[in-house]
Amino acid sequence: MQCDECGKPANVHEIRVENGMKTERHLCAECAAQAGLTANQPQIDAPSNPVEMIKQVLAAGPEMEVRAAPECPTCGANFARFRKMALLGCPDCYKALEAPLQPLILRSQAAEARELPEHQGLHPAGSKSPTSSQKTRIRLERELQAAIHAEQYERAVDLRDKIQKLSDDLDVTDPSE
Amino acid sequence: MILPFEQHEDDALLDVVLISRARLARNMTGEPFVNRANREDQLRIRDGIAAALRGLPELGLKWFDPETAPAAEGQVLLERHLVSPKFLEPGPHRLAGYRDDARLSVMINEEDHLRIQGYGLAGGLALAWDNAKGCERLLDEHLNFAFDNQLGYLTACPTNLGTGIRLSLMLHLPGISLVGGMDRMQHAANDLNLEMRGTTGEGSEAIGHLHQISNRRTLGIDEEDLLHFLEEDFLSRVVREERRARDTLLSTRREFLEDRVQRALAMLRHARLLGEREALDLLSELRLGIAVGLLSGVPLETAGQLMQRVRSGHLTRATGCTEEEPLRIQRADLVRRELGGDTTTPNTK
Repeated sequence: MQCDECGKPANVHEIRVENGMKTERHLCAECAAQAGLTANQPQIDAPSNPVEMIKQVLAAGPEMEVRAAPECPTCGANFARFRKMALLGCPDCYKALEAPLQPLILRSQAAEARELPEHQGLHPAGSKSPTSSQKTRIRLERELQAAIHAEQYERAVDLRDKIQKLSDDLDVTDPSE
Repeated sequence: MILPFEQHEDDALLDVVLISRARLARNMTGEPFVNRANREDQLRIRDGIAAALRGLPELGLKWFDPETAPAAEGQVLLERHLVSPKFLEPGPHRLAGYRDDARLSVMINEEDHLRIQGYGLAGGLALAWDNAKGCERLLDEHLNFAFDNQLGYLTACPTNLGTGIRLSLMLHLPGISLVGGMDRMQHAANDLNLEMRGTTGEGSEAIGHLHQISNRRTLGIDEEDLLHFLEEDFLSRVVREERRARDTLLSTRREFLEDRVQRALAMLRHARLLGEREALDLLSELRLGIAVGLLSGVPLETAGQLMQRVRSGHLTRATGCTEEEPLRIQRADLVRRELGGDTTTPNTK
């Protein structure tokens, strides 16, 4: 990806969400320094563990920046590539790029709904249908990601507690979980 | 499993519906999508899927390799809607399989690793779905498709996510068009989250009053529910409106309609040179005339088949001509012959 200012390779990526509006900037190190991007604002790397992410988000406050745009660990595709091509690189991209993808999928598939509908229809014959508790946990985890993305921190903490409780219950009922 | 390919076609909607198609998108688990696959990946994916398909002789597929087959052959498959324009563009290693009766086709390494297309003719959306599903369920026993319990089948473009299904209908709507109702139809389709396009798909214009309609939503709605919705909430309405528009024209502007139909017939029976677009527009008028009972002696099917046979790819295959002017002559000859037109040789001085 190229720097928005000078066209050199960009290695500083800023994603900012303010009042629900998302903006992106991609800059090289020099232009980023000129723009004062790296100096005095709190930055975090996006952790994979949602609980850790919440902690960091809460610590960083509403002015936080996520420095590294997510990249698919399997094929290396990132969201900028998707924005350009409207195509993902591999099936794993759906997980890796979930946060920026989700609002787009929601808009194209179920504009009237608040959350992504669950797949209905044919399944691979060999696939095990998840239990209802597992389904609930998957749904809550997705809602948690969306809440973090939308900076709804109180809701995020509430969802985290629900997930924790559900995980404890699953541990009790099924030791193999 | 009994394969549905030989099922009887219901032709109750033949006056409006030309083709019904159900397309399913599938990708192999653990492989990059086509747009991110290198040449080696493309070959491995293509050959893996082709091997599974070749192991199912009951599907009755013939094969088309765009890298080695003549381009004219690809054009014929395109005109029969068995492959997409994108499939014929130069790019990854690809392969298509199709049934000669055009009830089923598969495209390997188009946008997704596998696209299964089932077809029905008039009113045959349910049959189209049965054909596609029958093939998909057989393959499911041999291939591991990328799937997620929440998101369904994972596709290269999220607009196909979930069921990966695209149901489409090719509709002949001259009545609605002539009474000026196409804008309203577009809005109605939009409100129902359906896509309405021209003859050959994305961004194309409507030639011969042919319109293609398909679903946009693919996630969170069961294939059968979608099918039911498309047939009950949209198709039945469009068919009713199209027939009403034709009746209105016939009762209030009979001469206007007769004039259009008779002019078209005269041109088709006497022209010595016919371009593709012109032929399709004239045949569309002819088809309308037959459907409303202004013309007899030519079956509706003949008009529909001619709309395919006058396409350049079909004509090239039938006659060997590739140059534009000889093709126009051949097209005019074919139409005159089929419609019992003027075959006398004009006097030459």
